[in-house]
Amino acid sequence: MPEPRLPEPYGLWVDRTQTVTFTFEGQSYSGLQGDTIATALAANDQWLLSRSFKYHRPRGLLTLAGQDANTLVQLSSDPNALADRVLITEGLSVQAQNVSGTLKRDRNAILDWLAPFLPVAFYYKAFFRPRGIWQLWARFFRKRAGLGVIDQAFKPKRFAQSHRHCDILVIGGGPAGLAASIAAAEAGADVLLVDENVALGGSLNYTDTEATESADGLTRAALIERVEQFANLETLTGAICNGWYADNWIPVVQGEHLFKVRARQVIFATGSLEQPVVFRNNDLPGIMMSSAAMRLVQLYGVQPGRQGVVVCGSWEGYRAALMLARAGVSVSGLVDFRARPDDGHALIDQVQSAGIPIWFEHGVDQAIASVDQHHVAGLDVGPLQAGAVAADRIMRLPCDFVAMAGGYVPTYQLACQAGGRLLYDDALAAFSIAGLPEDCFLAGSVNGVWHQGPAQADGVRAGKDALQALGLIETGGEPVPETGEGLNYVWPIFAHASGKEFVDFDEDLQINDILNATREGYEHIQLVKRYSTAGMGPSQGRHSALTVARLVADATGKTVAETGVTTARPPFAAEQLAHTAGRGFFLTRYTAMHHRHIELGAQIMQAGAWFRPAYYGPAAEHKARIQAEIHKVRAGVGMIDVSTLGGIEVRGADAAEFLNRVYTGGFKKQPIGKARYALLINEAGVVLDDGVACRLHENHFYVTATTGGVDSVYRNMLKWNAQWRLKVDIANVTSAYCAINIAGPKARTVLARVAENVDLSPEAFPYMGVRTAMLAGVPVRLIRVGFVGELGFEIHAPQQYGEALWDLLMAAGEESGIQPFGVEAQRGLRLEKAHIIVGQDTDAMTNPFEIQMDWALSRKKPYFVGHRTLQALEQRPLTRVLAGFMIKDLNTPQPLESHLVLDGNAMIGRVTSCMTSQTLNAIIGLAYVPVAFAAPGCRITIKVDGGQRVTAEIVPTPFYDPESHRQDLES
Amino acid sequence: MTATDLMRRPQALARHSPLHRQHLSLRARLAHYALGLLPERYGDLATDTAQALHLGLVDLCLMPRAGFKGPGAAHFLQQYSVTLPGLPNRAEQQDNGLLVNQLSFDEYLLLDTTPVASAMIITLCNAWSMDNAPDCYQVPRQDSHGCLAVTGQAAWPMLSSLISVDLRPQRFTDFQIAQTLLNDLSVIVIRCDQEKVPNYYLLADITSIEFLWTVLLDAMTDAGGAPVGLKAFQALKGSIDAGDGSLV
Repeated sequence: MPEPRLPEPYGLWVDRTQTVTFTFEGQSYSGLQGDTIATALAANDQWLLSRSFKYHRPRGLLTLAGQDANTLVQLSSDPNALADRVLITEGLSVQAQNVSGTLKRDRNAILDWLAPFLPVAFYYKAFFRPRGIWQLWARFFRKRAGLGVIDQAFKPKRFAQSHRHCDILVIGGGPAGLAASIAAAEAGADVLLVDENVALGGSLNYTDTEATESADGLTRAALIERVEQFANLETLTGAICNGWYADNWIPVVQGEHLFKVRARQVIFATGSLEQPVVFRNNDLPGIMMSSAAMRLVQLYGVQPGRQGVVVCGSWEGYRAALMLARAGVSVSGLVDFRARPDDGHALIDQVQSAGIPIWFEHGVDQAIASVDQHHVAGLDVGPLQAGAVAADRIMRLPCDFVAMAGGYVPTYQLACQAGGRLLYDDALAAFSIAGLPEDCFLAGSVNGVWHQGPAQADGVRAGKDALQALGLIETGGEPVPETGEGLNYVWPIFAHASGKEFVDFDEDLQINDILNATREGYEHIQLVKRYSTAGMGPSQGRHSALTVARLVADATGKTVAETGVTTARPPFAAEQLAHTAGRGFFLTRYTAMHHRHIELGAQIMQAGAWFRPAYYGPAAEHKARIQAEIHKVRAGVGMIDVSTLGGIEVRGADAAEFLNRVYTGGFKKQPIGKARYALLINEAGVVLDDGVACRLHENHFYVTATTGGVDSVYRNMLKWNAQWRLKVDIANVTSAYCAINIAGPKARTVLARVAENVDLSPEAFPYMGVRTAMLAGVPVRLIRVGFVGELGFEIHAPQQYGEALWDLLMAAGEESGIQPFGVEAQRGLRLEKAHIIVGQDTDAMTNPFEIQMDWALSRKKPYFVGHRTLQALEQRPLTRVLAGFMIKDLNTPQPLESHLVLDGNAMIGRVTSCMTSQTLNAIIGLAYVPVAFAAPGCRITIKVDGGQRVTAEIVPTPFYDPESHRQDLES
Repeated sequence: MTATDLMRRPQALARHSPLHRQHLSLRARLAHYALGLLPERYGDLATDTAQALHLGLVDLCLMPRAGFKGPGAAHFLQQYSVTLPGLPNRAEQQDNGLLVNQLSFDEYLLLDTTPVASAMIITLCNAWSMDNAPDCYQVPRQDSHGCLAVTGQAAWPMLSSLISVDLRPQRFTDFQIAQTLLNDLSVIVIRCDQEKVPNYYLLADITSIEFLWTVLLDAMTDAGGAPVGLKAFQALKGSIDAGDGSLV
């Protein structure tokens, strides 16, 4: 029968007027609005929640704070839901996970009996010993891997994300956090207070202030009332700070929302985590933290059992016993590991007055399971002799719950991520944190200041310290003395000859597992973690790190301080991928003519963020379409959108000098109205980019760069001029100009139909000439270039005219049969001319000599970037060159980019560009080959797809129109 | 087609927003303004205005803009009685409505948000040349950047879902500028309230303005936002009659 709920005021977080029905393992249960799955089941006397990961031992609630793996359950769409966090809702269906059969009758429970054959690091050892055994084990492990089941019909949905800023972020809404927030808000700071629980209050929600000696300070209700008064104090409850990153950037997860919080100051009022006592069978359902028992009673009005025992090594156990007894919970005894103090203590009197017997200097031998093995039924305790339980004086205490008060560990994870160092005081048997950065503060028990009054005072102190750091007040808070003495017992660990004393509940690790790891040579705490998997489960060592450190320290003869704990990395709690996925957008860039290309049937290809037409027409006809586009340029006229080409304005009195230093060629004497090829190398002599530099004014150059290289060119220009301090302004105007290359024997004819105030004749506008002009009212810059090997003009116009200019030229070229061509045709056209594409025909090592660009180097200049390196390189023999090759038999498989050039079986080079040229009726390409293979007439072997080897002949380049007559050819 | 025909075409075709097709797909009612074809409204004016008061997205890509930079930029602008903000990342509204935005110690972005040709911007652009404005360099902001406005009471919370800068109204005050990232896109955010209605101008690379429009619309959907036309935007600052267009 379910235990009746305790009367009010117990049950702070449940609404007794609202009943909620749900199912667990197919059985229907009812709880109250505000119940978690675990508390509603506990109210129905259902304590068995899960099976352990490795041995499938029965497990029940442990912390009731979402801090352990015992409460992981399966929801219809979510595996690994925390039953002590998830609130019940009407009709909620909950299943146990990681069971074979049912939760009560789990066939895999047999593994518990096989534990002696599954030693620490069994999994790792199974990889290699004995040889070949892994193939067998793999089947076994793979069947048992994982816990819950993913709902494959799950439809992803987007979680919200937003940025939040505040002056002071207070993490933790307990007494210290509340007091800190109030102090900060009173001074006018913008405060964000975050707490992981559904309501503020922290430990004030479940501890019994009457049972504390320091019941001063404001009450929970008074603190919360104050917090709610401030417009500049915002609270987020049910929200977890999941990590600390540089500059106080903190992700806060609240349900399906991720807040990216940037705080000027952070106060960690994160409290402390209660620790278990380690003894045989300490994992049986019904054995829980004393704080969990108090939470059950105070927050949910549920009794932790009918008769309980408290085991402790500090006064915290006494406080828990008193609180439970005051609520009417039967506590039949208190086991204190310590000797009775000579001068007594008020809490001893209070506990004894409550009728609770105390056994001093006693330890726990083992917990006894119920007949069905699913619950604790008794506790064997005995006097301690030399730190161990005297085997001959053990007595059995009947009970159905055990409250463990094994001490505390500060919730150090976030503070340590911020730079704090975890120190251990061997005398106090407690951790402390030091070394936080200047914009982070600790408050409350995480700072070693315990109990309601002092914790509030410490919160006020932290709040004032943060205010002082913000410059809002002149002096910080008064330090509050630490009050954590006597809270931790030095060795709450009771080894048993038969084992099963669980150190890490997540991974079913026992005392001997840790000790054996050190015996096998893994003595460093980080190695122990990885070898034993201690702390690697869902609770990330929150309840095992201290015990593991103590065991390793003892086994290795070091102190706990020397041993330390493992690194606590983000995230603090499990988060879903949807929290971090963000919006599904990738930056895109469209040219001004993009939509025209779509309307003309272009197949679009991506070049970085740019979307460019690869070719026009159906994909099924791509080869024919590309060849037709090439043919049109060679025989008539074509036009291509080259707006993605980089454009950089270099202006100022030193513009020519600047370019002279940046590029390899000479620019100081470049006439206005002329363009020059511009090759850029870096300090190591490696080719970075190329383009043309157009002189528009004595002090004004317009420089083009490659689509992919312009950002790097621009950055380098800014960097270099930051050193040179030349009088020059550099502006990346790539987006401001659209550009069209109109090319082919009829290009001039088409252009002439719309050109104003410019003489396009060959004499007036020669190759590499630059003019500013108007095309039907559109202001343009015209550059005569020959990248594709025909008469051609690049037209650069303000972006806003792009689409109109495209339409204008298409209309003007209609009579001449103009056809747009895409990137694929352009690549083919330039390859026929053997014009390189930087980035495709060059790599991260290519220098100008390897690509026969000696002609682009000015020998007269005293300096340009990479000059010294080139001088050195010139003294050395070349090891490779980029050479043109040709295969005349069109039935030969065509090599592709990156196919290898072989000499026998030795790799001696690679193909950088290759195509089947209908113009030349041959396969042509460029490849890096050793100098010895680069002479025209040499034959090279290329390994193509499928491993086939083809032979190609090295030929002079350009392949097409070597005399470059066609750039002046007109029809 | 005759040469004369060709000469006429650009004037007719030029100057519609790069978001023109987006507006058509959203069934915007377009109108010819002095600087080109823009959405006048998406629904009736009352609905559009209510939307702008709550959370609206306005295409201002065709609004007049100009940029000047260099050590001589301040002197050049002051010659034409332009009042400068004096500090980077601050804006100064001129008596004629022109917004002068100081992007760095020596770079200025001039932004007019009325759909008529800006006399001041035209004057400055015509006056500038390499020879008569020493150490001052014109920057082609009209072509390099697109401009959108996000208006309404829900503007800053929506923008805070996308932008990491502190946009809280009390921190990011009127005429303050942030140069930051939005989904990997560099944006200039300028707060310029319209008669107490929160308003933020967002300027970004013109080639990514469709991307920005899409991202903003997506984010606005969660907050009840939608595009609004120029009429509603003008109504926010009480100049509903300014720059009326002719409907198409």
